[in-house]
Amino acid sequence: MWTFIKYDVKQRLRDRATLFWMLIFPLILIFGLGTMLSAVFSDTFKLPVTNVAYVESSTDQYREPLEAFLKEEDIQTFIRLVPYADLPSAEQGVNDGDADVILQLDGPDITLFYEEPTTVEFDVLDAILGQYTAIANQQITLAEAGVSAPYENEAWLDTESVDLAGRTPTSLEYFTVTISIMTALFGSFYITAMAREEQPNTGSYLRIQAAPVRTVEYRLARTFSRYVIILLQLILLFWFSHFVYRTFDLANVQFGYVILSWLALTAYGVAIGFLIVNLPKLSATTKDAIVNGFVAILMILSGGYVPGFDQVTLNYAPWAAYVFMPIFMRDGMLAVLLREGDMNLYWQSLGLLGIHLLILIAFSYILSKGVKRHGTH
Amino acid sequence: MSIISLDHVTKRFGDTIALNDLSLNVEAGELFGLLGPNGAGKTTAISVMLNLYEADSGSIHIFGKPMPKDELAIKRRVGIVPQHVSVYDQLTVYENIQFFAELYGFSPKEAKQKTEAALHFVELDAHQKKRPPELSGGLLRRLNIACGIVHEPELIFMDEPTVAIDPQSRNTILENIRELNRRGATIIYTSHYMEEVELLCDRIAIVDEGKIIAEGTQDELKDRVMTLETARIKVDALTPHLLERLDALDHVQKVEYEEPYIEVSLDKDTPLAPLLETLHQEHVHFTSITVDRPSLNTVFLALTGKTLRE
Repeated sequence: MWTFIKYDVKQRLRDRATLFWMLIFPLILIFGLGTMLSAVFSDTFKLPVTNVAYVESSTDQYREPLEAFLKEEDIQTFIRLVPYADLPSAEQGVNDGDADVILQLDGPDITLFYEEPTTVEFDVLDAILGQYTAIANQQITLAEAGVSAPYENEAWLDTESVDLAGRTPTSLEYFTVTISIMTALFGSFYITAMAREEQPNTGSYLRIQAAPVRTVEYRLARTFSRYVIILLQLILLFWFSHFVYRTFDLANVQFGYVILSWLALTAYGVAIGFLIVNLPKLSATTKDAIVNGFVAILMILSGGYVPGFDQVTLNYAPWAAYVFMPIFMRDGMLAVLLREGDMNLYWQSLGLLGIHLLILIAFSYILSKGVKRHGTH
Repeated sequence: MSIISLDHVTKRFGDTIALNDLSLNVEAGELFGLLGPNGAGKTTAISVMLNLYEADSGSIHIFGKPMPKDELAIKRRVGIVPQHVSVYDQLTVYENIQFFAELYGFSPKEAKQKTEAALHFVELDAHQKKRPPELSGGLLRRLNIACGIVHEPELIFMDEPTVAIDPQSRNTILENIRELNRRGATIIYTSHYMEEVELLCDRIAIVDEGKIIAEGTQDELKDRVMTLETARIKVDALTPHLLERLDALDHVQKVEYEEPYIEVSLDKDTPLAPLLETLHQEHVHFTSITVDRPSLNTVFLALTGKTLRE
């Protein structure tokens, strides 16, 4: 077995195509996406300061709370108020480049004027002012009804809906999902590739068949050697992405559970690979195409490569959490792996994956019996 | 002692019968040829002997041991040189050979010694650091042989090892095969090149449509199909009654003249002395006599009605 492992690893590492797809391509992806997305994902991300032309024609009742709100330290980090006497002069200010957007307080009405298309900082400003208005209106209504509604500073900012990090996965989540799915699905790649090489009486496999070697030993050794490569890849990618995405906080990662889930996903990928290998009446090329397509679709549906796409999938097909990638399409799983989450969910997911495995193994077995019965050339 | 014994072996692929009730015995130390056209069943016969394909019926014994029951023990003593070059492109020449040596149970140290011997044997020492894609067709074939013989097997299957190579490499390979046989290896050599089989093999089995249609030494095979011999005599002149007198001799079937040759068709093993005596009596001088015997191709044609290249 050791001979197979030694020489197979050597061959994989010398194969330029393998090196490209397993190491160079992901590194380029990490570097490229990392450069583009790290600013959005970063905890220390700051919106650029927006110059707001402020036109006020209201009473103290409405002016004072708004101005107090706009002078808060959090708001001041990305807003600089530039007072103007009236709307035409504010418009002139925008045209001259002295301001980016106009905020008008007219009586009780707050209006934000800006040019289309907008940028993310205007959207954020719009959202914040929208919330301010909603809460202010609520307070006015309550006051008119004679109900006391104390002014709460914290209430102005709804971090759940405004905080970008709350709506999109963090870089660590993104990579955990991507790399984990890759672990599983590269497994199926390798199994189909191995089966392709194992056509009786062809290529180097003929010599293996003719040698005093048990097939099971050969397959185990090769599966092992290929997962050694995948593990090397994971370590390298994690290490590299750690330097690209500065938001990694490995201190909270539950490495034991991550590794256990990788092992489970490995078994999942191997089982998918064997199932596809045993599909009858299909050429090796077609089987490869199925695996490739399967990998790409699952990768995207599960939020690998395209962060957050798993939420879109689950929105349209909630059952997908139980059918595809049962580990990573379940809400809360990443919390377990990357922070501290509900362990029941983790073990349930592993159980679900175990059921998947049993089903895949049963189908593979039935199909392989069919293949043997019909014979192969 | 029989090294290989096949008894009524049949192998089917769907509706195609690849081996049809095939029986065969090969003795220790023989260089045995399996001759037949492409698709005759030669490679399938080898595959079944090595249990690469499971036989549908019949029994196979190699070294007196049943196959597939004693498969691993048998395979340890057997080498194969496949028809298509079967090596790993990502490993060097040296690593390829060493890998196969280790596969047969040698420690890395022993495998190194065996590898160096095999490299030297096929004269690939100078190319040991190259990878297979960098080698020419002839060198690749030699690497293919080295990988099959590195563990010094007692029985070697060589399946058309000289296909598509230049004459010089072919000669080197044929000499390698003779040397392996001289060192004691029993060799099963398949080919559709009758010249190679005639040149190398002690005994030959002619295979067609999955059956052995004839088996024996070259002479035995030729004797089976030969009823006539043709004597070609180069003469300097012709006398009026010479052809008639020759035609009247016992065992002469036909006499033809095409200047400067007289062609006499004789029964098999007819003595040439009466022919020569007649020429002498007619005062006809002759400068050469050749007796044509059938080639293996003629034998194959006579037995199957088709040529080997079909």
